[in-house]
Amino acid sequence: MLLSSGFFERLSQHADCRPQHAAIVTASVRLNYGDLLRQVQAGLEYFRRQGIVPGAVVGLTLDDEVEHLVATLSLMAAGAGQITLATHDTPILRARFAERVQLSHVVAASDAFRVAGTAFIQFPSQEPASSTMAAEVPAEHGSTLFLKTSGTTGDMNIVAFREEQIAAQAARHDDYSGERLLRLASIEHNNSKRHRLYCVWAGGTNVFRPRDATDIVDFSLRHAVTCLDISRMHASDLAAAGNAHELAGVKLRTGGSEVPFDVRQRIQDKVTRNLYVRYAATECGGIAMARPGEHDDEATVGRLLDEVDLQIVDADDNTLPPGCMGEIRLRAPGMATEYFDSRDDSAMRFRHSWFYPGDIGYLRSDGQLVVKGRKDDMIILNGLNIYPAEIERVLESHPAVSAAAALSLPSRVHGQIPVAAVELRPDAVVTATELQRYARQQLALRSPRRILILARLPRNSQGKIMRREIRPSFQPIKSET
Amino acid sequence: MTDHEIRDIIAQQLEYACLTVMRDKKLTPVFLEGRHDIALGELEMDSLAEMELCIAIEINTGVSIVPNELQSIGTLNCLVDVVRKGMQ
Repeated sequence: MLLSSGFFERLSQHADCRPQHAAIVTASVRLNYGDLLRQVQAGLEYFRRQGIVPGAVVGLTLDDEVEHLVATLSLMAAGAGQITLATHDTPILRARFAERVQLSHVVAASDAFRVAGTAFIQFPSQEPASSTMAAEVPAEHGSTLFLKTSGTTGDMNIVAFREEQIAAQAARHDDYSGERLLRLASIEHNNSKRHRLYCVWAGGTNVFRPRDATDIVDFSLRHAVTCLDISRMHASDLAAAGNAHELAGVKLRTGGSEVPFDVRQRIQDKVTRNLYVRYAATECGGIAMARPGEHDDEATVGRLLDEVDLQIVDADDNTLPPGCMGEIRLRAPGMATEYFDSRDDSAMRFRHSWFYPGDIGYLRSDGQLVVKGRKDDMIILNGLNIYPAEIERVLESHPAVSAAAALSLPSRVHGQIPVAAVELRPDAVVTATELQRYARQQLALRSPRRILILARLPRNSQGKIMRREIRPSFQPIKSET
Repeated sequence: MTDHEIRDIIAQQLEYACLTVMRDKKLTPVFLEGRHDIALGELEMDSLAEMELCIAIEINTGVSIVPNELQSIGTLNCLVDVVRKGMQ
């Protein structure tokens, strides 16, 4: 049994115990744990030479997944904090996060991703590594991983995890040690980064797909993938592929959005019976998992993972018995206790040592958890959580817009799709396309996919916008025959 | 919804995805007029661009297409046909 709380130490132990075991596999590269350790040591040495000291906060803008993982582990070893400033995010968004976490450096493959006021470090290094160096990381300078999540107050929240918290989350997740893990979402996304780290923690094999490998089945078979972790959309997509049944022996894990029973049935019929549906939150990691044989028409998310303490409570925080619907609250090792810089959301979500994810559900007498929906109006697009307030705040910052209302439209493929309706200021002239472009610059993947300009947004007698009444306006116009 | 409007939705989405082949070859106007067809493979869309195109089609027309199906559709004109038929 390996015992350590730091990823570098853990990686060193894997490199000692099974140096030839594959750590990273891509279409063209295979790194075993010995190789990975050497690359991380070289990265650590390089980052130190570039002036990264324990406590520095570094933005990572690397879309090459292997380079991203090596840089992540190297920064952990250096005792630096890190936040992903994704290549798919807009410069405005990257600059906003940089400011919030007081970034000192940006690590990127190209200086096109420089952020004003921070030092730029090109990665990978163009210099040859001079020697290997043991990482001596003082305990008080353990690294911090900043992960982004949706916020109710109009801006995204940031969760700051210490390295040992990620390790605690990894420890309760299903063991990746014997797995070859492929995730279709890039490591630039929170959840993928977390699971890639869990896989390193367990000593498993991270398999990365090149962008041009569009046939997932073929790629998975060629690289002996044993665990395919994908979004509900990708799972539906896979079920439509003619050769999907060839993955019958693979564990298919999905989650992020509600996975209805008919979607699960289709995946089990067309792809694999080894279907796992996960319930998790950015703030705490894995919570529950429905395993093969546990899927039924209640669309359960399964039994709680080890060491997760979960209750269903009423509006006064009284615990409810099995079968009674109420709000979910939980606590688990490695859970965050607050948001990085949002006192209001922290006070709402973290109370009396419990985390309230904002979901409604019930526990069955057989111990399975059923999540029925959201307490609030959060939108979940392909596993990406978006609060309407984030969209409304951006649209209302446009000089032509006087009021905005964001809402979701249901989608069989994507879960929910964010859209918005706006009311313009008197005499303002702007098109929906211009507003959509504006929102994309500010919100990137979190932007509304359709915007309607209405003469007036429907309001109740108190002046509150009635989102439900806006929804029919988004009905597509029938095609002319 | 007219064919031109369906084409406009697709063209806008391709513009958002910064697919330079459309811009560099000045293909958008001729595609909008239905005078030119483009193989989807030629656009070199990554998975994110494919997902966004599927979302744009679904949200504006109500026609659900999963990204994997795009591979088998072949060209943008065929995609317009699929959307039009799906809306009827």
